[in-house]
Order: sequence, then structure tokens, then C-alpha cells
Amino acid sequence: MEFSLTSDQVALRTEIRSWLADNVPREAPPHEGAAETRAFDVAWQRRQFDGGWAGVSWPKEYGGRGLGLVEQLIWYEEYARAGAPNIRSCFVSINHAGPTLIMRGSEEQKRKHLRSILAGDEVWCQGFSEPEAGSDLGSLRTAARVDGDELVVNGQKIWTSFAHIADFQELLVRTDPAAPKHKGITWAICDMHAPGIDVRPIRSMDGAVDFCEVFYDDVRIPLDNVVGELNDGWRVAMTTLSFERGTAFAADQMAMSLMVERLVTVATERSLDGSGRVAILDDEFARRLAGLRAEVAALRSMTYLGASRNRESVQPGPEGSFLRLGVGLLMQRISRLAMDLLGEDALEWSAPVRHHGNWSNDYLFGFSRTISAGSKDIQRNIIGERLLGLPK
Amino acid sequence: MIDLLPSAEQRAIIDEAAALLASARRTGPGRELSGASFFASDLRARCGAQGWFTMALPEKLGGIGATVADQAVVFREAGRALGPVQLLGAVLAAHVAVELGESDLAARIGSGELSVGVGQLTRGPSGGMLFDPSASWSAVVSPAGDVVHLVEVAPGSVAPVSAIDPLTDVGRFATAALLRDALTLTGPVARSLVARTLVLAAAYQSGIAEAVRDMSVAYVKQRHQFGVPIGSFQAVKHRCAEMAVRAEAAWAQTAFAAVTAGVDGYDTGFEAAAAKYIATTSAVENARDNIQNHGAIGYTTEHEAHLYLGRAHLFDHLLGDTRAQLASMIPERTSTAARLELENADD
Repeated sequence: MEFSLTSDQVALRTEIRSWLADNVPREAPPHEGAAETRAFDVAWQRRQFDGGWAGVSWPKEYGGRGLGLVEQLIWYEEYARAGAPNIRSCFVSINHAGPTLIMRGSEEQKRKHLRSILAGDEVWCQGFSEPEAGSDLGSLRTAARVDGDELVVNGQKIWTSFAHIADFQELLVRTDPAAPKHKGITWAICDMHAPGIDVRPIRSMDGAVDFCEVFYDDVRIPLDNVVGELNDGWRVAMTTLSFERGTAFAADQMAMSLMVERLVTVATERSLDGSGRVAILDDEFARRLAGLRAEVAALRSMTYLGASRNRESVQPGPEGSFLRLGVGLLMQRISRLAMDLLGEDALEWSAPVRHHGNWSNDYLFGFSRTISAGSKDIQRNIIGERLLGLPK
Repeated sequence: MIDLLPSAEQRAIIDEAAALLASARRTGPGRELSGASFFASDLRARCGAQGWFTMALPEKLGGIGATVADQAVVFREAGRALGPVQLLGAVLAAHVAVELGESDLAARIGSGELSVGVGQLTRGPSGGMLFDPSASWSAVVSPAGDVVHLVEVAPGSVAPVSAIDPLTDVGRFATAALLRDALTLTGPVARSLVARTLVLAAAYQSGIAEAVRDMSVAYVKQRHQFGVPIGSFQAVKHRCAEMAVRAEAAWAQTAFAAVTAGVDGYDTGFEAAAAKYIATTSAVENARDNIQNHGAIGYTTEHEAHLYLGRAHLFDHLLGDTRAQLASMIPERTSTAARLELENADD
């Protein structure tokens, strides 16, 4: 056990901090409008790419820096500390599709997409969930038959964030209906501008219009776009999800730390009721804030412990579920405390209130954190079955 | 290099510690549930011979210059095996004695010749609780964790009470009587020593959290009801998963606090308090869930489950309880109160 940054890593942190100070967009991201959202997100992605920061741990040949996991963590920490914008519509390409292609893609697929992903030239979305295939992802029914050198896709996906602005989709389809359910699935790169695709946005409870339904009517995908082998898509999808459950949430540690510190400041200034007594003098709030500080610290330590385990392996292990679960639940506890601290002001939602960053919004958005990428129940199944070896 | 996994040397220390504790521990049916008989009587001497109490001291002071992390992995094993409180007392006392220049006393404690209990002054100034008053010496910590007294326990200065943890003798003391001839360590040195010892207590609690997790997992795999192992039921499986998450959080934070102890740029006081708080919560909650997972047998004294529960609660009160750790992690409360008082005085 040891904890020391090399002089290169210390220098890297300084360099990152100063670059972010000069380059983080000062304007807030747009809340509405597909075109505006895309324009903002890809411009910021492009700026990171031009600065050489878009893929700290990605291979150099695809535009990354070729550095290690610790350097990637340093980037995420500084990124959040600098208040840089949420990655939003670039999340899937950077955190899912890219790492999956690096591990499982063909040389041609890598050459075609990886650099474009880093540069913000491509926006991706995820086509995993279906109306009847949520937690039971393996039961998905969107079908694809092979016709010559193409797949022909018919069916429906749902909860596809940013489908309405994406260029490509990581699409799971059933290519062998006769095979056992996990054996007949294929992971393919779907061009979202292809004929036969119909996208219908859905508004979520935090007011955002990121979610979409996607309908496929004889959509043709070249077989060259299959990642891994035909009918081997489940294994590829598990690779994808392990990234989402592993390293992709590293920036959240620092973001949560900043949220708790902001809440401490709010509590030292804000009076609980008309009495003028500030919230931090209240036993309950003081203890809850202290407890959250400790929990954020523990989650950061879990991130480092996880990174220590992953040092030798390219793909994160099932321990990633510790972090996925921990981040989601802690985010919810933090914004829940904010709701209690703000009193009736928390009811006010669209209009900014004094001492009220965007807490009500964080609270509403927080519900998604234990649903997406495998609900908290699925994460506990993974921990129980794959880490503890309990029977199915 | 950032690596929170044990090194090869630390894995050797872990194996050695686990083997020593296992060979000294008396288990099996009909065993007497008392501190005196749970471990072989030469346990302290054997641990002393391994250098457990003084390993983190510099070589010229009788140690081997080991890190807090090296010592933490030993205490994690101690927690797993329910090693006696005296193990922690000996570390604390040996370090206090060294800081006060009492090298002969330090050596006798370090070798395991002298036994040391741990005392905790409660918030009032007049008294406190002593864990293992049968020990010849005691290391007594102030409520704020900034003063440590080292004292030879005089006969009659401690009133025994029977406790929730049947393996640990507990007594109440009056401060004036117990600390009459105490050697006292104060200031930043005392504070830093208490912080490092908190990390060891957190490691011990992590060991408890892990031990009961493993006990539950083994049991729910083999216990059948309704024709299937109960571990296949989601209600039970998820409880075990939560135990695993808590154990992971406890050890991760303890390991982080250990490797950053005394390193520039890290707040050792905060990291240690967070470790003690998280690990204690994990140990207590896991010990509770473990009893539930075992059903009625877990509620009996024939099973070890209750021993872990009692010990986890007992360790909560060593070196400052959960309330005290939480208070130390939110200094803004005190500073805000002071600021407001000043402002009011100005008005």
C-alpha cells in the first residue's frame, strides 16, 4: 500500500489545472433545444481535444495521451474541481463506445470512429433497453436478420438519451432467435441518419428532454459494423457496462465533494426559520453534513482502491458495482439533505433562489442515478452473485 | 504510485498475523465465554515478540520503522479474530512512553510483558470507562482526543461493570483516583498519535465488518429453506451485498487514511476520523445484519454472531465515539457559533 504521486503526475495536475482555468466555458449549458445542446457539448469536447486532453488514458494512435488510470483520475478530479460542464451528450461516445471499440472493435472500426469521438465530431447514443427488456436486458427482442452483407433491423428501443442528436448508436439486436437468450445477441454500430429510424423524445421529471424512444423499420446496417462476432454481443455489452460501472463515474467523487462543501457554506449562512439561528448550529444538520463529508471521502478511497485493483486489467471487474451503487445512493443523500436544508425554498424549482444552486434539480435528476446502467437492485445482484458467489 | 492493495510484504504480515491469532484462539463447543480464556494466555507475549506494538517506531527506539499501513493490516486481522482490546492499548501506550522518554517502560510494553487497557474519559471531567481494567497499565484518552494519560492501574481505582461484550472486562473509574500518578502526553504529538491509533481502531472495525460478511455469505450458501439456499433469495442476497459494500467502504477509507497519515497535503485528523466513523458504522450494521441472516441460531450465545456485535459497539467508544468523530469533522459548527457570539457582543 502506498500513496504518492510521481513528479510527472504532480506536474500533470498543475498543467491540467491551468489549462482548465483558461478553457472551461464560462456560459452555462443550454437547458432546452436539441441543436443548442449538441452545439455546446461538441464545442467543449472539441476544445478538450485540441488542448490534448480528450482521452488521457486512450492510446496515442487514436488521439489519446496514452497515460494510465491515475492520470485519468487526476484529470477527472481537476475537471470537476474546475466546475467544467457535465459531459452530457458526449457521455456514451467517450465512456462507452470508445472504450468498447478500443477493446473489441476491428482495426477499421477503431480508425473510423475513435479519433472522431475524441474530437467531438461524432455523438453516440446507447440502444440497449427496450419496453420489455429493462433490468432483464438479455430478453431484448429488437430483431436483425442477415441479408447479404447487411443486417436488417426491426423493433424498438427506449430510454435512449440523446438519440435525437446522435450520429451513431451502440445497438444490441437479436440475430439468432433460436439460441438461448444471451447467445443470440449482436452489438452493432448503427448510423442514426439511416433510413427507417424514427426518434421520439420523452421529457423526464427533471424537465430535461434527453430520453428518447427509437423505432426501427427495415433499417440496414453493414455487417462490417458488427463489433465482436455475430451473436457474441452479450459479451461485448458486458464490456461496455463494466466501463460505465467502473471508471466512468470518477469525476462524480469530486463533484460530490464540492456539493457537500457548498452545502456546509449554505448551512453556515442560512437561518432555519424566522429565529435567525443558522442551520449548522442545529445538531441534525451538523451531523448529517459531517457524515456526508466522511461518506464522500470513503467513496473517493473506494475509487482509488478500485483503480488499484484495475491497474493490471484493461477492463474493470464486477467491483465497479460498488462504485456505481455508492455514487448513486450518495448523490441522492446529498441532494436530499439540500432539500431539507432549503426548507420551503426547495419547492421553488425553475426560478433560481438565493443559496439555491440548482438543488431541486439535482434532487430530481438524482433518481436516475440508481436506475440507469443497471438499477441498484441489479447492482446488488451483481455484488451478491459475482463477488460473493451467492446462488442465482 | 497509488496502490491501496497490500504489497507482497504486507500480505506476508497479514498471513502471519492471521495464523498467530488463529492458533492462539480457543474455539469449539463448550468454550468459556470470557476474555481470560478466549485466547491463549501467552497471546500478548507472542504478539509482542512479532513486534506488533512497536513496529511503527523508528529502529533506534525499538521499532522497525514500519508504516501505519503495515500496522493497520495487522489490526484488520485482529478485528477479524476478535483480538483483545489490550492489543490496541499496547500500541498506544508504547508510543506514549517513547514520546515521554520512558524507554524502559516502552520496551516492557512493547515486548508484551506489561498489559495495557484503554480508557476513555467521557465528556464530563470526572470519570470514564476503562476497557480491560485487569491490565496492569492503562492508556486513557481525553474526550477531544488531544491528551493521552499513561497510568499504572491502582487496586480499587476501577469499579467493574458487566458489559455487552462478554469477552472484555469493563470498569468505570473516577478520574482523580485513576490518574493521580499518570504520565501525560499533550499537544500536537498527542493529537497525531491519537489520529494514528484511530486508524488502527478503524482497521479493527473493518476486520469485524469483513468477518461477519464472510460468516453470513458462508451460512446463506449452505442454509436451505423452501428447498433452496436462502442466499438465492433477493432479500437475503441484497442484505449480503450491502454488507460487502460497507466492508469495502470501511477498509478503503481506512487504507487511505493509513497511507496518507502524516503526508503533506492530507488532513490526517479528518481522514482518520472519517475512517473510524465509516468503519464503526460498517462494523455495527454488518454485525446486526449477520445476526438477522443467521436467524434464531444467531440470537444465541452458542453462536459467535453476538460477540462481533458487542465488540463493534465497544470499539465505537474507544478514542471517541461516533458523535465525537462527527463533531470533529464539522469544525464550521464551532467556528460559526464563535463568530455569531462575537457579532452579538458587538451589537
